[in-house]
Amino acid sequence: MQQCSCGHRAIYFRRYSGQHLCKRCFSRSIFKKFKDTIRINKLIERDDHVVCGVSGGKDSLVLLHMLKDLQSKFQFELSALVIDEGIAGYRDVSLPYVHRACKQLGVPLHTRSFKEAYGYTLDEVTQIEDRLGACSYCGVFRRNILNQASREIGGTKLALGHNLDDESQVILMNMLRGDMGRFGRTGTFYKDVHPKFIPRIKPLREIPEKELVLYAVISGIEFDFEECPYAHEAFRDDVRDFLNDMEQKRPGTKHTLLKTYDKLFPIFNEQFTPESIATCKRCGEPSISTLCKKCEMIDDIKKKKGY
Amino acid sequence: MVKVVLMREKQTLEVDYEGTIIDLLPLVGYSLETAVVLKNGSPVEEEETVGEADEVRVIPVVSGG
Repeated sequence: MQQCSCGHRAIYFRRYSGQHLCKRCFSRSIFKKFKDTIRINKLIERDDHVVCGVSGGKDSLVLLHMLKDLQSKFQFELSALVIDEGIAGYRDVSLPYVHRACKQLGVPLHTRSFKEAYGYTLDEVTQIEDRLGACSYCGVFRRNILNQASREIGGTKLALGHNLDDESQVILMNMLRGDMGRFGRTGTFYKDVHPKFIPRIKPLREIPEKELVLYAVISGIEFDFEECPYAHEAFRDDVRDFLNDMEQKRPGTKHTLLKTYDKLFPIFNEQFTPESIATCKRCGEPSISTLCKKCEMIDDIKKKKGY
Repeated sequence: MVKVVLMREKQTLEVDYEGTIIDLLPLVGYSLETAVVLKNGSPVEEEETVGEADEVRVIPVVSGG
């Protein structure tokens, strides 16, 4: 049995740093990483209104708890925002976790749904023939509502629960796909590209997914274990398996990939991110072209559904 | 017998096993990177051994989407 450097019994071996950690030192180290990520990258400033996107999964609920704790250190406003995509048997199961957490923490919760915003649930969208992958619609719709709703709530930052695994997977996926446009958008900061764009912050991006699960368990944060029924995207699964395999053989792989990306990020951002972004002629939201991806998708769905 | 509770699958298995948690995980479809383990209700280092009458809870690392 191993001991933590403080003398208590270790419950976690952090292979990438060689540390054996007890419950208390482990939890402290996670909160410190979260706080340092915010401080070093100036993600939250005094009097910001942070809107935390929550799903009921462990990442976003840990993020919400940590942001609440951080409020005791300095002054900022905190709200939570949940999107109901309309995925039967999944989102309806995780929503109660969100409601309970917000009630317990005293954080105001705002809810938006695909059905209300667009007229269709994600389940309804996936019934059309000749369609894209469910995650393509969901990703575009969710980003659109998160941005729009955050603005309506009065948010100045949108906090999302992306962890080290999410980030390292996306970096590698964009690199393998040669998607340079997206490649320049996974960093810690965003250029102020559009007046209607609420900057997104990812305070958990340096924390491994496994450590967030352990942190949630130790802190008594209840979360939904389920996986989205649409989540199995073959390419991401391959990249995830590869990174997990590498991490097990060579602990530190995921951190190194993120650190390398972060060092190169100013160059990517300069080279591949447009100076300014257009405005969708229909909905007025930030867009790459004159009609935004969301409006384009809605047109296509309407045509195929006939209503 | 080790009682292995798979939290997502909502399954309980009785596994004839004596050894480290690291080596137990692949036998039930998980690995060091894809599971958080509770031994008799508490988190432990995966180098720890389990055996007769122990209960191991396997919490999936990947969830959500």
